[in-house]
Amino acid sequence: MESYQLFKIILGIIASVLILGFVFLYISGYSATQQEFRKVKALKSFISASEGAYLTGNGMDFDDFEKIKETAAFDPSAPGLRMGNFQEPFVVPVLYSEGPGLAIASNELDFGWWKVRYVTALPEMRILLNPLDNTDGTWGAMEMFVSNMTSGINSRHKVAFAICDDRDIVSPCGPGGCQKDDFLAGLASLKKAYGECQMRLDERDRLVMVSVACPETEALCISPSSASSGRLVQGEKSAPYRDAVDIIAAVAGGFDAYEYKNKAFFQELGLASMMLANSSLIFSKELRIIGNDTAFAMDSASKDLDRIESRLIPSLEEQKKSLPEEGKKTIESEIEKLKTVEMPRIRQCISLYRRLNETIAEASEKAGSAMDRLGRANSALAEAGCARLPKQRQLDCIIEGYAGYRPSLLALHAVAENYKGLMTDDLSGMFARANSDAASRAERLKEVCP
Amino acid sequence: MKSKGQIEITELLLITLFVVAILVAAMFFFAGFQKWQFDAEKDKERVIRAVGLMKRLTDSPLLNDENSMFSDKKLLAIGRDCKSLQDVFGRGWFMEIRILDSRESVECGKGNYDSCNYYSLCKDLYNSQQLTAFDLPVNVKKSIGNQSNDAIFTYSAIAKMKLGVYD
Repeated sequence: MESYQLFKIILGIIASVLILGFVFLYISGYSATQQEFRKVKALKSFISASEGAYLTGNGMDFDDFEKIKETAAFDPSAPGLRMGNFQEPFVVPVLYSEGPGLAIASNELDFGWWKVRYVTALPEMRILLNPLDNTDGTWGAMEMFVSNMTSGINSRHKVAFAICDDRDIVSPCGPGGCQKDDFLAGLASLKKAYGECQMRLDERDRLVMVSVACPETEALCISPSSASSGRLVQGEKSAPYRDAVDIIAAVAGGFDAYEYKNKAFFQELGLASMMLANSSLIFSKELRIIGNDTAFAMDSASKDLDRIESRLIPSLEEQKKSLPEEGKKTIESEIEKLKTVEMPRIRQCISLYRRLNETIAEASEKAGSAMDRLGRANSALAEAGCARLPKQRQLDCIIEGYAGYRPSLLALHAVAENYKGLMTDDLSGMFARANSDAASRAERLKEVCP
Repeated sequence: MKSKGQIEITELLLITLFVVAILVAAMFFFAGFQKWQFDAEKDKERVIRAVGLMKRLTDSPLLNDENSMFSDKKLLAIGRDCKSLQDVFGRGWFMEIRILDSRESVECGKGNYDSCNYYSLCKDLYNSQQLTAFDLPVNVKKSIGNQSNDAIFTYSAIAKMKLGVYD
């Protein structure tokens, strides 16, 4: 073999190895990219499915994670879902629990004056409830939690409920647990205190202890203090719950999901309360038009007064002369009534109309405390039995909206803005009071406003 | 004069160079194709985001009364509080609603709810970034002032909503 032929073979081998290596590297890189691309697609598909459920109210099964054989984790920093290096933020509030196949369902929480919509995305699971005492609080909290969970009737990824008693499973539907409605129907017959759960848990099991006094444990424990509120305890962590969705969030995704739920809900409640409070101001310019009514009412009352003074009383005096003694007495008592009751009442009304007119002018310009004074002047007019204004319903509506509903909304807004305080006990009581006040004011406004 | 061996090696080198050149060109082509695909995906994403946001904005009780009808009262009440609105609906969008009444545009504010015909939300934050925008005919429950003793009259106005989504 000549040397150049040997050189040709070596060069050929080197070139082939280089080319093949290059092609192999490129193809493997390309396939890895496609693999990653599938993850991104699955994440985006989840976000789109949750948005669809939120908007339409229709639940669905989501199996894309199962298809790519990877699950996504809740990422509280976005907040959203994370899979490897990819992260996709939620566009609607989602309470997420990790799993390959998920049941996505739409729900809402009614605050009385506002409803917050949210989505749950839960894998197939068995929730093992472990009531450690037989108090009404414990069983009430359990019932509140279970009844607010998604029923999952039409889903392949069902959530089952059972009671864990020491090393046993207690359930009216067998060890696999009951569906929500069957469990709730049989709940009354299960009422007693159970032993602390010692069972070895499956991957799909979630243990939730319920007790007025939670033991020190790594499992999530609900410690009720009233019918709808109490504390959630897990290891070192502890936070108050105000509604069933707080519990659902903690069961689904731990305290990260609980914090996310509160942030998302209070952002919406903060905006809604501010918006409704502002809307009570928008029509305040209508007050100026209502002001014309008071001038008309004052004029009308003055005319009534004048008519009584200059015509009715002299006419009665004239009639009295021609009447017998009995009739005279009746007429005299009529005149006396007019002078001592009716005329002072009309004078008082004129003065109250004047006051109302002044406060209307002030309130239409700058609202604020003038609106409260307007409310008082309006109530005084009603109490004095003065004639109602033609646009009285509009006036009552504006006053109720501003002086009644608005302060409760602003109080709620202040609490909602400071939502982090709601994760401790600082603002919980304040929120409960402001929320209940806003709910009753919203009902009242519906009655008052045309 | 080159020997036969030298010629064959030169041929081999040229062929190798040619193959490598084809591979490099293919690599550039695929990289370019992927970049184009990525950009197209990004545009598609923006369109999907715009459609989703449009559905949410036309359905949200924060802006609408029942039956997905925008409420002028709510649009006015939100006013310029764009930050709170974007906390709920996400960032990078603006919305305009123009009542189709053949009149000059008059932006709605607190004192002119009955005579205005144009609402704008979060427009101030848009700073000529690449934009995907959609127009959609919508209904607005519009108040026209105090014309009865019992109520402020409203009517259903036909309007054009423009939603712009940017990165």
